[in-house]
Amino acid sequence: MNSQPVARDPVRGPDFGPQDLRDLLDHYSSVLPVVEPIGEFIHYNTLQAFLGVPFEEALFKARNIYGARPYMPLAFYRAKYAAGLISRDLLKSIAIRRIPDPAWIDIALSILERSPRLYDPSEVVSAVGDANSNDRRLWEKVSAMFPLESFSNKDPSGDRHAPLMDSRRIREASNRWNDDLRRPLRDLWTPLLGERIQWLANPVLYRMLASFLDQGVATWQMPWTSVSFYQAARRLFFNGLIPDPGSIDLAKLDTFEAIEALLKELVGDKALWPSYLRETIMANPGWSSLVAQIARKGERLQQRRKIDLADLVACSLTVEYALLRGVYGVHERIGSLLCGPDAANHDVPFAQGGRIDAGNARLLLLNDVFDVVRATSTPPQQWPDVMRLCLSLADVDLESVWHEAFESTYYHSVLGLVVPRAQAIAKGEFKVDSLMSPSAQLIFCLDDRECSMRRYVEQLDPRARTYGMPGFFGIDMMFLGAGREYPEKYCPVPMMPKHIVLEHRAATTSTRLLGRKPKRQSRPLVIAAPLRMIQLWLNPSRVAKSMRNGASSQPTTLEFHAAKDKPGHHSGYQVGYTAVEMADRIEAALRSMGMTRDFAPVVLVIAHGSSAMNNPYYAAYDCAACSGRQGIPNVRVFSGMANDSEVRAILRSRGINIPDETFFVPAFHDTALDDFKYFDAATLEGARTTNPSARDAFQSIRRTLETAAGLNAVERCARFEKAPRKLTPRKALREVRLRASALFEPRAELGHATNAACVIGRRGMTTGLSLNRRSFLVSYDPLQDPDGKWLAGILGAAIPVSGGINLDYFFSRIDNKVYGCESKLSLNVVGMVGVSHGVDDDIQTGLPSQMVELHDPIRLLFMIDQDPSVVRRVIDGSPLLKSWVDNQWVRVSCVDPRSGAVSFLGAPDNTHPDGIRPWNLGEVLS
Amino acid sequence: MIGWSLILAVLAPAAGFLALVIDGFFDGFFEGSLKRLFKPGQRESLISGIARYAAALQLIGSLGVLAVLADSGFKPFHSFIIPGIPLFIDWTAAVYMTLVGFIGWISVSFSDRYMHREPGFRRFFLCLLIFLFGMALIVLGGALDTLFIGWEIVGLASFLLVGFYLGRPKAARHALRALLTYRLCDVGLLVGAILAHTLYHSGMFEVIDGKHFGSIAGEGISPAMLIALSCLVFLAAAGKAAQFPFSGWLPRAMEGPSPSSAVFYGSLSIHCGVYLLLRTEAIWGISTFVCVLLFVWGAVSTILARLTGMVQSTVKGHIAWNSISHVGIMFCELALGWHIVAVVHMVLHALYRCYQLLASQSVLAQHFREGMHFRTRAMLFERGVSRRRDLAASLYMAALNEFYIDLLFNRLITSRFRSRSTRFVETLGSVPRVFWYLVPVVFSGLVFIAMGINGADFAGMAGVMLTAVALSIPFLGLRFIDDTKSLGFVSAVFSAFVAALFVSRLPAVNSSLRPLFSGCSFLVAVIILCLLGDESRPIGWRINAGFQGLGILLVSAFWFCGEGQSMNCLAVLSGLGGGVMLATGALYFMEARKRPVANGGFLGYAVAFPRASILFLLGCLALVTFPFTAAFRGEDLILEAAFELSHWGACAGGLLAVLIQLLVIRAMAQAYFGSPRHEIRYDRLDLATPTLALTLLPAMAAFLSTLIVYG
Repeated sequence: MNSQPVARDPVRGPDFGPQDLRDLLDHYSSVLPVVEPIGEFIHYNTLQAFLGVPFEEALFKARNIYGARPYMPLAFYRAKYAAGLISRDLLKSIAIRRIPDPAWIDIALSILERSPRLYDPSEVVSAVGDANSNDRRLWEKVSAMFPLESFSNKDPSGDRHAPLMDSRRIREASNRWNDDLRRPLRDLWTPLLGERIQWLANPVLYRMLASFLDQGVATWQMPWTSVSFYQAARRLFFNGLIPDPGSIDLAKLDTFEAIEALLKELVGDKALWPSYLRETIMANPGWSSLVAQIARKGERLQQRRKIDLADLVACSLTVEYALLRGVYGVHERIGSLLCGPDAANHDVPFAQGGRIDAGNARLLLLNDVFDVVRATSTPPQQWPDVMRLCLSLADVDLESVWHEAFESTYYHSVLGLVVPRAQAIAKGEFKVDSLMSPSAQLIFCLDDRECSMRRYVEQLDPRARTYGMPGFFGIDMMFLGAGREYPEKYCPVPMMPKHIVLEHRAATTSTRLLGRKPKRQSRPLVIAAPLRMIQLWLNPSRVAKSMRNGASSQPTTLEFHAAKDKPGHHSGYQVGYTAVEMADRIEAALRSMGMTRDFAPVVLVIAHGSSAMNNPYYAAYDCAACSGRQGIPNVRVFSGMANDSEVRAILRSRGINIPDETFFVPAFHDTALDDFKYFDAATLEGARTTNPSARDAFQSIRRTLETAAGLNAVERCARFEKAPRKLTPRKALREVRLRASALFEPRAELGHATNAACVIGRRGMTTGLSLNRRSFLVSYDPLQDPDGKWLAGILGAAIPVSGGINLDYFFSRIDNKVYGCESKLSLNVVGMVGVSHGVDDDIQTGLPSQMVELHDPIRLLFMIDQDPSVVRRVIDGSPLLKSWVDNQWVRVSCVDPRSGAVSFLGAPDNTHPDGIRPWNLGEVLS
Repeated sequence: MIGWSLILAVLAPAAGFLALVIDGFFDGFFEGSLKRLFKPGQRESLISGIARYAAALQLIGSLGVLAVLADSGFKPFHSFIIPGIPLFIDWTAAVYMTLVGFIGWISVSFSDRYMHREPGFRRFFLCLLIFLFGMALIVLGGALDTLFIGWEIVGLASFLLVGFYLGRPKAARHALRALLTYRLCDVGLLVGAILAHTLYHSGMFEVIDGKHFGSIAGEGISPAMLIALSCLVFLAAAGKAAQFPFSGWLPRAMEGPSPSSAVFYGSLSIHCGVYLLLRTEAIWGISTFVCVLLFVWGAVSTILARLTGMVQSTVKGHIAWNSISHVGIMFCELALGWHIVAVVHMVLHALYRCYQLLASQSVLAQHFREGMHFRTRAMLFERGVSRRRDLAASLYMAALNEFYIDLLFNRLITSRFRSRSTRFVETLGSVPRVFWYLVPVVFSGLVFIAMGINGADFAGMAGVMLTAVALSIPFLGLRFIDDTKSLGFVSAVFSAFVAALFVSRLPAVNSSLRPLFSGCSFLVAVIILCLLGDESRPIGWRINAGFQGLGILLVSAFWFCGEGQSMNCLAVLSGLGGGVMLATGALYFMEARKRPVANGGFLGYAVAFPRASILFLLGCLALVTFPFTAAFRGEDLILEAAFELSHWGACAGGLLAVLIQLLVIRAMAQAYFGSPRHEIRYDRLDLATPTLALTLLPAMAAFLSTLIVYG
């Protein structure tokens, strides 16, 4: 989480020592995108490594490393513009700040709106080809002004328009046209092998990696998984691909020595080492990133493995060595194969180089000019100005102007909803809480998918109050499920919990069953296959149920009370919490939500998760605040603590009076099925005897939730293209449940798609407002927290968690080929640690296109219901939050609870030394 | 009843395919007319709807066939209800057809929602339907030839579905690998069909089934020939069923969307090999030696595939290798004569794997959320004796690398061929240009001598000379002239025309000179083969050179066989010529508009030009005698005639032809697949369309002439 980028460039040059090698590997392991083992999938900011630099700068840095697109293509923004989702006024005011002379704004707008870009050749062709006769004459005139003949291919610098050739725009265009940005060093082997060496070496390397990291697909495990990857791989190589030691004795060298020896053997010239290493790492970015991540956080695999980037590099080089020397008998070195002009060329950075036909470039540029001229009917004497403007606009990147306008338009629309409400509250025209005592209170996760659910619950039962907080509910814990071998983390990834909660199977009639592993679910019998096939089509939910039914159906108890005198320990964690520790957590949660009085008889604490069947990314739909798990243990522990009489007594002494007749009930919302489950029914049984009103309240809120689920399903179905329109709640529920159960449905739910905002404040700011399931909602009462003590806790979890979700979607949408993983239909699960397309492939990073196709790439807008100076102080208190906010990876706005005035937070500069920029509706954000 | 059932079972998918083609070609032709049947306004539901109706009709048809057959007490019978497609139905066929219908219908229905919004939606269903049509031909076909046609169609559909994601180079490589393996092994079936014709004087299963070993011996068929025929059939079956040593393509074919993997590799396609063996049991079942061979083959495949399957750490790889090992077991069962066991095993296995592949993506949910674990075994005794440990590690490593079959093949054949051919081309490049102008002269001179000795008339001599020159010019000219496509195009038209001319006027050749002539052409074909190995040549060049090589080989075969083959030769040349014209014309059309930016690798025309690239694909397939022009039939007959003259000569020529075809397929795949990186060529835009039109005309004429020739 805190890894700051290593800003310097890797060492190059002839004196490349062992320390440089280590530095280089460290550098790459820090800039690689974050890829978590798939079973532990969490949404991360894809460009985590660049958090230390401003957002826009990071986009371009990343482009240079991965060759990804920094923004959506122009056509996307123009389509949004046509659909009215980008405001013309905002576009205009943003463009005005970017061009040299405000008088040219009309021409600039016309360029933005309709000029085709160089790298969209089909548009150019249609523009040239479809021009009618009038236009053709005009075109001829323009061409006459800038004669094409003078742009001959042979002598680009000799003519009078030479500066055009250096335009950054043309270079960029050529970059994007050339996917093979430069000739890789390893291609020099090709003529000797008759095949690219990657095609021969990659399958071997990938299989070794996958077998080593495998969490239980293969029936025959790789031997020697207890030592480090390279050690194990080397031993295997001696039993297979390298029968005799060859010219270097690999068996005696450690990993780094082996890398050096192999580089000496394969490459020779030390000046080429960094390039060759970079190729080795970047040739399979998915595996490299996964390995770097496992090296950083080894505890994330259930079966631990020792592996780091150096192991991967060493193994990759060994495979090449074995193939070249052993199998093919090639004894040349790269250094001797590379000669003359190639040597100078090979070291250019990733996204440079490439050629574009100079004549074509001219033609395209002229076409731009022509198009603008035609669109604005500019008189001929101004054409040179148009030309100049085209070039100057090229330097600000049209897409970035569009993107800013796109984001601003959304921010304006959502602030336009919330701010008037906030002002009304400030003036006392709108009451935050109704005066009626609440019938039930529901604590949801802040997740954007709960946004509409909360709205419906409040609509159906005006006395119900809903709250939102990060879905681990303040319980930082490790959890050891019954029958599981390893404890799992149930809190946000950056947190380091000190406590563990153990799950025990409830005693059944047969005590022999206690302590045994759950019965392994039998695989479908061969004989039953035809039945399964028929069932699959006729009744998918039944198949799903039989695949889903696991250990979860058996009742269990959780051990979360620490032993009074001396707390026990388990795998290095303290078992359970003491009464004071429990009270601390409950108090923090309740106070941060502002839920300190008016307790209802029933308080539902609702975790969420998703049980979609066709989903290799299953953790991606679960709760990110629980490290990608379903937060059921958290809600059970939370309710258990809050119901505990000892805890209540401590809380009472601290000023939070939970009445005895109030019961906390843990519940679970399945966001795919839109279905609620309730746990620990015994609690309710107990409640019924002491207090019948709790039971009635529970029954009534349960009915409300069922109805709300139906309405919620209707709203969800509106986004599914294949779902019928105009559904009744009952039919909509059937539809979403079919989706969740069917193997043939790759879009069981759309996850966090379209998330764009996060409101931290009193529920009154957003009640009844339709935020379209686009907003994370966190409850927070600024009036009970004047010095921002609780806000720090909220922001510390909310910004990385929801910001990470947002940016994962953002980047996967921007360039699905590089940051995302394209279509999920051909995905193959690799060793339970990753997904790839087909066999023998690189691990795929990011999200599949099915998840992000509806997403609008907008950075998350935080709207915090608090005095900006307080928020500023909170953010300045944490370096991590400071880089998120000041480098604008998320946009933070504050709505002052006393006045309703809005201001944005950003990096301090000359005009705003405190980093707080006051803002009014309609203004352009700075 | 039975007639209608058969028509439905065979033709319903073909009709669906045609409907989708028409709809696609006329941009929503059925959308207006069939609105009431499907959800309005949704192109996708129309496409999948048509496919679903077609698949459902096929299922109904197959059930009908099964019912009628059961009613008649499973008495096998022949049917000629569909003209040109002889059908043969016994209980195996009926059962397998029902399986095909069922799984086909399930997969098509499954894909409707699964493929939603995927680029290539229509293409996917087109491939599924043509696959189902091919399957019906395989299962119900009444003769080896019909079965072969279905066999090829299934291979083609697999190729297109493995490479469904056109832009991914790895998918393209694996698709190519599948097609090349298929094509190589299909030779077994093709030569087998020819051999069967020679042996039994018929390819009909009814006839074959009726023969017994005794009666065959009585008819003068040698047991050696019968064993050879069996081995050829095994080769074909092993290729399709991914048995040793061809297993590698199957796990690699898991590149497409899961339903296609499920249909092809999980269930239907891989069992075609078993089905072929069931069908041809009358051929191989009568020799104990052959049965033992089959058993050993199956057992070796099973053991190796099982070991490889055990070390697979990807879910789909796991499923693929275990399927291979099961099919190996089926081979063993057949070798033991357990016919019914094999059929039951096959049906259950097909259904089970289909289900497993469809569910493969949810494996994580089962694994993590439900705490379900696969059984894993540490087979290695880490504390054991070191020698035993090393043995186990070696076995593990070998299994992980698929017993080094790929590496060995690559090292021994591919890389050697490529580096040699590159060196060969370099050597040729240094040969003075004059020498190359001499080659056609020498070549035609030889022909001239041959004709002169034979005392042929002038027209015949002139015709042959022209042919020789026409056949050599493009490939020589292509070496020196940069813009070669137009030349190749013109010469292709020319050579097809001239070939027609000379064939009509040909006298018999002196039989003593035949070996000399065919030796020369053989040499030229080998040179062309080496040149084709050089992958830096432009695609158009390679396709043209492939045409020259095949043309020379077949013409020489015709010369060798003497009279009576004129019509066959004409058919071959018109099919090949039409193919090459279509391919080069489409290629020219595409390259005239956009020029690939980087040379080497895959060029990505399928993405840049979806329609023109289909023409290109069709042209190339016609060129490599896929069975949809008469070239296939002509080649078949010529080979058969050649085979009767000399077994070895025909085999060598056939092998050479197949190798050239493989390289042409490679060139085709390199142009077709890949992500597009193109520059527009403004200088050529105006030329492109007329060229395509010009190309289409003679190509159509060639296909038409074929039709007329074969009536």
